[in-house]
Amino acid sequence: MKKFISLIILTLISLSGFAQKDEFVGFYKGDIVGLSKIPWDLTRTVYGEVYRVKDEYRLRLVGHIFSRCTNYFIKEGLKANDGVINFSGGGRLSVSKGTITPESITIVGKSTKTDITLNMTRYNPPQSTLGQKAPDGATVIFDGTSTDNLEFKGAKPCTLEIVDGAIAIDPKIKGAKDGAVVRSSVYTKESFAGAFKLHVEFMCPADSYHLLGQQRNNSGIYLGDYEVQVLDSFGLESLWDDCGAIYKQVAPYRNACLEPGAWQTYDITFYPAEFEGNKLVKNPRVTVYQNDIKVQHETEIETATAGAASDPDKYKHPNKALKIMLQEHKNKVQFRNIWIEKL
Amino acid sequence: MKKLLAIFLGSIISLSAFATKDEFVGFYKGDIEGFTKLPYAITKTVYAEVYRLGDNYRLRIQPKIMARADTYYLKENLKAKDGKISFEGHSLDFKLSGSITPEELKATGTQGKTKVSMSLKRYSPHIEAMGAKAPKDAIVIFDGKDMSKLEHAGNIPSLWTLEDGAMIAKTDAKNSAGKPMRTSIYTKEAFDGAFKLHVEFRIPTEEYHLLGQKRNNSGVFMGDYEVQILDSFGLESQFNDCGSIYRQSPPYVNACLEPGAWQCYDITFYPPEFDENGKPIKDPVISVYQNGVKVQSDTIVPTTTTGGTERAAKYTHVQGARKLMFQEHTNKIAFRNIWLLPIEK
Repeated sequence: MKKFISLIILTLISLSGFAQKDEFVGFYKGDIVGLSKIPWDLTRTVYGEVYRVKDEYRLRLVGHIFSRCTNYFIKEGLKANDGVINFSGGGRLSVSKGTITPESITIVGKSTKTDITLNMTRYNPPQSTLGQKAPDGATVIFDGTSTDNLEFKGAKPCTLEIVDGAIAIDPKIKGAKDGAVVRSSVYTKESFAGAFKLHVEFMCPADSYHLLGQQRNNSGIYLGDYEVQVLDSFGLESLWDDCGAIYKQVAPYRNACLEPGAWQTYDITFYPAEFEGNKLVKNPRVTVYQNDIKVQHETEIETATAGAASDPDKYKHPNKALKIMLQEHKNKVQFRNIWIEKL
Repeated sequence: MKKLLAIFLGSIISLSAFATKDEFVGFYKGDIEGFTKLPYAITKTVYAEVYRLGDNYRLRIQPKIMARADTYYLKENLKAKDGKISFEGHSLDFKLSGSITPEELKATGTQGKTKVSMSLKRYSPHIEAMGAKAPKDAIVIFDGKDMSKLEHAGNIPSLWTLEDGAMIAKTDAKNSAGKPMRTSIYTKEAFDGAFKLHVEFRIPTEEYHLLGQKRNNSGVFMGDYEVQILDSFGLESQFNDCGSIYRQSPPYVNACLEPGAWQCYDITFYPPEFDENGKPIKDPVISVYQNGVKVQSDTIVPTTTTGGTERAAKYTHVQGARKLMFQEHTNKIAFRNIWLLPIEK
């Protein structure tokens, strides 16, 4: 029995360990030392990106992050042992001895025939709007203190708990009235007409390294029938259904994702469809900055995004105010600091 | 000797055959039949893309082209035999058995438990901007006949070939000392201020064995800022691929057509701005539509795209009018229908 209890405790510990932010995954940054002149196709400053699937890691060294640039070095299938990941191999930068720790990446290697060293430390890209307060005149949707401006579908009260100023979408949430499980997609009580700026911060928890693609912490921000996708797409080639996409219509221009467990920002500007009488004269447009990076710019939205209308081919843009919705898609994605500024 | 001659002739024939447009490479479009109700993630209309590397073909079936859409079916290392490419087997969403001819792609198989068939025809996307006439106030740079507005560095008159309303880069020029010379071609006129630029280009079909930056490289330069031209058809477009602001901003999607097809760029260029002391106060801004598809939208260009990262790090924007340049990078790129429309302030 004692053994059984300790087994349960061990399992609980390892499960909760799994849900914590991986200590290696994310960005690193540092300068190449040893080259008096930098070759035309290299940068002195190098970024490391550590990505994880299951218990295997992938390291890429690049000249720029968020930019689909060529790799200086890439190595897959790496394993962590005793708190470090060791690696070596060839590439535009070749590595004879490399070590990743949670704080740093150290490399001894060569650029062409010249000996180099490269010491990188943890890097968090700038997020100029992270934690930005709602400007005067803006409508606060969620400031971390109350969910009064939010509701579930059918005007049901939002029963999501606030933890550390954030709400976590909960696929198993029980409704207020009868205690039955409800879909916990969250809607604004207010509807918005006209153009607006929306600021929202989101976090894909670091609990799904075993999953891939659309299964890895899926959610979305719906502007009426138009979805800006939320997904853990860190480290991927971003496709038209990845984070930052106008879902299955327009791929994000770049992969601007941070690692799971990091808070990210969306600054979205939405221009609704324009009508003359009942006649549509202009499709809605949307601009999205993810973590300060432009991932959509005045993107024209031709129809409802997949799943938002029964038949997108026959869809007609409605001429009415819309609600913002944070999608429950079976995952516990978190949201905080949400406000809208009418333009 | 006869034998040697025959080998020699044989290689000339095979070389020239190599240089004609591949009969399979490009897009196909059509419908899937067999579904009573479409699965959530599958569209009825699909596109196939046939890409070639060396003698190997790759087939990809997708719901949309030029969109970084997901892939329904992918088969690599296919070979052409007796005028067709056969493929079969399971991949991603489908199990298929089919064949590709230069005109069509036909396949039957299953998606999950549903029996499906598809019949796709050759597809050339309709490009509204192709052949666009120069507006009344535009400056015609090249109309298909007259090379007088263009010259090489050092005021050398054009050495490029005129053919069927296009000009084709000369790749084997020599300078007065008999050394190989690059023949990038410049406008004689320099342009101040903002403008729209229309240019059509065609990538030759002679480099299926090459990859990356070696596969038919060129570029449209506005002074020190390059919009890259490259045969990037079928690739994941990176920051140095066709449609990129070279090594600064990757194109938003891969909007390339297959080599041998005419393509077009519609570029909007806003030059850097300076204060009264000549100090730059605003970076240039470039938008690019490639074949009618948005690949750059108000992209800020903080520094030059040429000369490597060290030069770029120290570079300051240059005040004054700038020439356009169409790059000769050892490949026989063709250009036609080039005009520039100044944007009034």
